[in-house]
Amino acid sequence: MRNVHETVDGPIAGYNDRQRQILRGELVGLIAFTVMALVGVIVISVWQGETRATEGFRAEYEYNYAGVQKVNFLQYLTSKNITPTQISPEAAAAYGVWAGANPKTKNVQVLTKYLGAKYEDTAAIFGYMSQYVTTGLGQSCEYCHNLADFSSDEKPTKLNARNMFVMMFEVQNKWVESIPRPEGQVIYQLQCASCHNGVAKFWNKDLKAKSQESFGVAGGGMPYDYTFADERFLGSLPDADGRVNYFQVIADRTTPPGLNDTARNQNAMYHMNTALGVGCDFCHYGGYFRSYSLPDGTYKYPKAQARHMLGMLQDLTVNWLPQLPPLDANSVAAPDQAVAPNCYMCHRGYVVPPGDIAPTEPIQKVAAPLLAPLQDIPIPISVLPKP
Amino acid sequence: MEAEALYPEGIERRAKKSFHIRALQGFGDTQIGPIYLGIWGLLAIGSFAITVLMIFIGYGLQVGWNPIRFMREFAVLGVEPPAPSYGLQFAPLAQGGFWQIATLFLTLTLVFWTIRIWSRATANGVRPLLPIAFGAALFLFSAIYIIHPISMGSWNEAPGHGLRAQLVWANNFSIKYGNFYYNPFHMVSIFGLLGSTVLLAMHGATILATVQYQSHRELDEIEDSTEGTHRAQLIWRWIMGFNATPHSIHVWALGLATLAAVAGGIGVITSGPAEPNWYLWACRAGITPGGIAACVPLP
Amino acid sequence: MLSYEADYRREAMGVPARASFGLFKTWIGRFYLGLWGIVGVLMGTIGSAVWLWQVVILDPTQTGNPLRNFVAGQIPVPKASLGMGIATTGADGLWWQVVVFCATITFLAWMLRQVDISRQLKMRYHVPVAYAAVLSSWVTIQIVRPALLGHWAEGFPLGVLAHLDWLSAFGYRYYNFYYNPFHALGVALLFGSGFVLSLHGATILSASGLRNKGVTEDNINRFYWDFFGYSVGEIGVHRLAFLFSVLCVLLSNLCLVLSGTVVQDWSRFWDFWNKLPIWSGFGF
Repeated sequence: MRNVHETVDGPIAGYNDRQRQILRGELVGLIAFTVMALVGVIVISVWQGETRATEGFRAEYEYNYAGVQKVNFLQYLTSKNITPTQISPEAAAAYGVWAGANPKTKNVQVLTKYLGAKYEDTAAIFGYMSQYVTTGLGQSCEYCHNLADFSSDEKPTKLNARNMFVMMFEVQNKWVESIPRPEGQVIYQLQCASCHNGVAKFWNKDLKAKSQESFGVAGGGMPYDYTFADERFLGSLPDADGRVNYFQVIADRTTPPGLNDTARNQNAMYHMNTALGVGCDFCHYGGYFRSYSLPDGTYKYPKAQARHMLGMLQDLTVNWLPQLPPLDANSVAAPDQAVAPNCYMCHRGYVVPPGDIAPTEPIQKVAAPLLAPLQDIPIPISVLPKP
Repeated sequence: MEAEALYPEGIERRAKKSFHIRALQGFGDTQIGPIYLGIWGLLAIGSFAITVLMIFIGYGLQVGWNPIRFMREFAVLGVEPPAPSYGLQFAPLAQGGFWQIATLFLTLTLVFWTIRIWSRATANGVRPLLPIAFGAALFLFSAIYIIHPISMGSWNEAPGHGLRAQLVWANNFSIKYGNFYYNPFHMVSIFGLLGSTVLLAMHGATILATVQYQSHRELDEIEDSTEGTHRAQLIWRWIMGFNATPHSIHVWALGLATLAAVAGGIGVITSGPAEPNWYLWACRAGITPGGIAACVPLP
Repeated sequence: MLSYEADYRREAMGVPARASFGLFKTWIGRFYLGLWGIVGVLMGTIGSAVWLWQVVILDPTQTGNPLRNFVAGQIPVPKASLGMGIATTGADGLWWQVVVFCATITFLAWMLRQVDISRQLKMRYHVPVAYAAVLSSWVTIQIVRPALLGHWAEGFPLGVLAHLDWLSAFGYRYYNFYYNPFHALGVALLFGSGFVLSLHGATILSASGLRNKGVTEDNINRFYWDFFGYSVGEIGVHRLAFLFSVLCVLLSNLCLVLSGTVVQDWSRFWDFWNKLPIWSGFGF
């Protein structure tokens, strides 16, 4: 056997200084590249600052669905650098005059029906308006009211608002109260702020431009005003068993070919990521997206809730918004086009819409609402686990 | 043998020049070139040029020929296949036609390239094993771009050309067919792919660890193994109880890498006609986590 | 023993065994033992036994079929409420911790045994270095990243298909893992490794056994110059191999460690590109 310490010809023994220098340089370069890439990723992430809101502890399977918290609306406004609107001094003075002359309300057609007789009291209604409507719409009283005669319907904004109240309460009663939920989860209530988020004409071009600031390059973050409510979505209705398939995604033997349906669905899902500020596993079992529960039996309530909400979205788009007066020239859609709401409209990056309120007052059911839906959209049936 | 005698003048002529990159010293050979053109190389270049042209025209149309937008959005631009409504027909240029032409010429490029390697292998006196190995990769390519779309009756099943388009296809394809992690052919393919990396690390490390004993002279070692091979074999025999020979390790290498590609291709081809939902397949096979009892039923 | 092996064993006995302190320097059949062999076998047996007992024998999937259990069963991770503590009962995650602990020691022992054997055979240390890269992946995923995030629950469950579920969910948790740049680099090197392996295997096999026809490394060189323009050479290809495969693993470690700690959303990560001053003011 050869003496292993004998010097042999070859590249190892034959490395000269130049080669060693080059090799050292290459190693340093490799390490430098990796370190720079690493530092780059860290710096970019920190500099970008905004990460999507996380809900509780985000390891798999351990979301606390029942205990999801709502962010305070005023804090939300402040975080978006919007100063909560105050009632203007003129309106306050005018109200003082009106309240003195009219301790009982006149021409209130909606609030008393849904919230009860206490709102026949001017002071009570003023409390309601100033707490919810002023901040929710970002407008003072004179936006809707004639300050000399608060009961007058001369301003079209007041008529719009009345119709919107009907829509709000009806949607609350039909969709929000019936949302499938785990034991102990709070049902919040819709308010003006839920959709308007402090801006009266929130569906206008300026807002759209501002909301496009975070269009993710990779497409993972869709524009905030992204709409997936196309004809196929709007026309998807539950079958006799209550199953509805808004997005044809996962294949069985009858699935038509093509990945464009999957892509369409994925865009909708990415929108939900952005809109709710949650990862995919908040709603889904990552092993099989179609499933409503995990292998260990945990039921994924948010997925059932999301499907429920898609029904609500359909209802809003098909039934309610076409009945409301057309928007003005400053809006995105042409006056004759219905605007399509999306998840972000209310959720704004949070699981519970910041504009919602805690359920302090029960909302009554009204047999013949002032504005009726154009058609009945059936609620998708959720097969919930037995308690 | 005299290689020069194999290269007559004219289109068959190879580049006369070669140059050296000194920075490669200590890593590998420093010589770059001379490269050979040949008729198949020429055809491959021409065909690839058409592919690239189609893709860049597609990109250009999407950015309105604005070079700044092109730079900003390069990663998300994509030339997409036609919509499913076109089936397997020719689509108008802007609605998938560009993709069809680009993919056709990409396939031709790969075919020309394979023939090119074949001709170069035989011209240089070695067995044409590399083009056969490349055939495995070609099989995977054709499974994804040709066989599966045809079997499903729609070009829309194939990926678009573009960075984001490719990634999005991988994600969507897996979602559509019920989670590719549960596709058994995909499992075998991953085993081949990760196994290839492991085997590559093992073989590379073994040779480098014994290079002072000339184990890197693999053709010589195959004929007659000497000390380097002995030590290389013993390290593995002592570690794990068995070892390869300088010849057989390369059979393992080629076999594992080929397995990755071929199994992957079979996994793609079986998705759809044979099994449209791999998770449900795994459910029926009883191998989902939690077993049959916990196999998540649909509502 | 192989025909030439006796000489090498004799030579190995004469090598100062610093790595294993000279303990247990013997062979059991073909296998070298060494101190780390003992440690590895011990911990490996314990860990495997616990896993088999929990996953296969206890029949958690209730199918009565051990083969199904082997594939479908798992030892789940500890509850998040445990934090970084030590579990006391099985329900808390004790068996996961036991198996992870045993496995880590076993892998470490395996690597040190490789060091030991490399020294006995007077080889350089590339083999244990390559193995250390893979070992670092295990340690990163099961120990380092959970420690950074404060919960053992961040590790992956010990089950054949269950760990695939974890992998899939991990990617979707960060919205779209394809946009993780270190993941992209790792994937490029992974496919690159498959490519290099296929090339190298085919190359050697295409030229082997043809010595009588005068085929040498020179033919391989010419082949690669012809079709590709560059021939890396017989040592270079092994350096390429080592580099690709080891780098793939090390960069992948980074892709995992950065997720959840520094970056929550990889698709939004690339927003910075859109916001670069060069093209931000153009109104599109």
